[in-house]
Amino acid sequence: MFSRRRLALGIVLLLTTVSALLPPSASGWSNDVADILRVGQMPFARMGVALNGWLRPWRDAQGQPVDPATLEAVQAERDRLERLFRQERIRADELAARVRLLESLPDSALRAPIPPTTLSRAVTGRAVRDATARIELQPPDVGEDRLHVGDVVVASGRRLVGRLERATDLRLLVRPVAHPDTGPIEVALVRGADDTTRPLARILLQPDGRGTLRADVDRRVDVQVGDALMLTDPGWPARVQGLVVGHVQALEPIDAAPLRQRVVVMPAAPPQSIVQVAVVSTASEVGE
Amino acid sequence: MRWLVFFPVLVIFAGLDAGIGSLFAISWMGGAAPSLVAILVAFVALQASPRATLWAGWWAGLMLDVAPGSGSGGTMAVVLGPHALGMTAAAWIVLVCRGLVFRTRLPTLMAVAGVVAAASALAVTSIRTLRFWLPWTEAAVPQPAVDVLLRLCGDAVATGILAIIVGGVLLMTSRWWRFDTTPGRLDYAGRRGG
Repeated sequence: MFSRRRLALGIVLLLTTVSALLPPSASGWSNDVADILRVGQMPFARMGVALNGWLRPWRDAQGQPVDPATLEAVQAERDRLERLFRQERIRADELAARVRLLESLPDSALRAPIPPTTLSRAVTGRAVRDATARIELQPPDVGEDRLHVGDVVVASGRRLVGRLERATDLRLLVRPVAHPDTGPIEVALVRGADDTTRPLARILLQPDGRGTLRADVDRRVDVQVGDALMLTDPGWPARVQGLVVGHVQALEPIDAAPLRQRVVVMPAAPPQSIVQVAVVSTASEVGE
Repeated sequence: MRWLVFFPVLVIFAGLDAGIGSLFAISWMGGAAPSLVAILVAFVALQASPRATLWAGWWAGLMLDVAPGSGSGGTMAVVLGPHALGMTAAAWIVLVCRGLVFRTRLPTLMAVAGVVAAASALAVTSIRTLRFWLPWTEAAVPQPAVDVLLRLCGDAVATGILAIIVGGVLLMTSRWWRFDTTPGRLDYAGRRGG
């Protein structure tokens, strides 16, 4: 039988194996651990580097010694290029996320006279846990004239976020779909987000002020937890019909009406999960 | 074994390894370099109790994993584990075969230090190759096998040569470490005979 000490070593080795095979994104904590553990090593590493530089001076490609001033200039240039590389990498990641977001939009949204605009969520001091709180977006550097009050805001994967409530040069506010002021929304109930051709029922959802939406439906309608609700409201622009409004979170009996049941719907894009959105313009339809 | 002696020496050796590693690097052998930590692990593994040996190997490897400049990839993320597992495996190999050698002799320490350096480097290379094959790790492409083998041999030889000095100094400090194991079979026989 294993003793406790052997078991401890075994567990440590098992955890070490798991850590060694983790993806870089999941091992961000390892940099913090490393920073702590290497504190003691740093003075000796610096001593080693100094000794190294003294015993083996830096040489250029032709084998000639490099004077310290040139070396410092080269190192500064290297650091500057490294910073530039990191900035460009972040920028490239951001642009790739925007492209993915635009690709996920319905074709009708992409065919609009004014192309969709991608925006990031602004970091604010708002209560992110409040599911009905308005979402503040970072105004774009260019093209703010393309944004209008009432434009539809969509997160990745065709998830409806809400509508633009205020659009100024300094501030963009989105009213989430679960906000009480949004009003009733007509949706189609589908089994799984993929099968959109045969809706099971049409439902009128009503925000309940607690971050979710509710509807009372006939008990004979085959509603299941996890079912998707697609936007089919004629009051919303035609080009955003079919966006996912939410998913059925719970089914509750109604004591006063035994033949009906209450469907509780969680918005497909809860405000606290929003990082980047696309704004689908309704400009052409305003004039219609 | 006295951990209060082991840890300071380990930290110093790991720091110096990171700092002066390139000083002794053999460029035509793929950048093979001696390892002070490997000498320390060999020294401990030859004399300490089996449990202390494995823990010492793990700690030594962990210190190499977090050593300055150990980050890799575009994010320079530190991967904890490859050296920790490699050094533990190397310490275990020494444990298996240490009954056959004179544990407190310098030539033994030189040879075993080389074995530790090569075994740990082999284990680290294996883990990095495994990471390369895993779809989620985004690990760098491993070096060709010939280059790796050349570097392993270079590591072993360079570590063995450096152990002439460092190992000699460590052997002189054996009393400070308070290794609590019995001497090796042949050492014991030699003592009885002498």
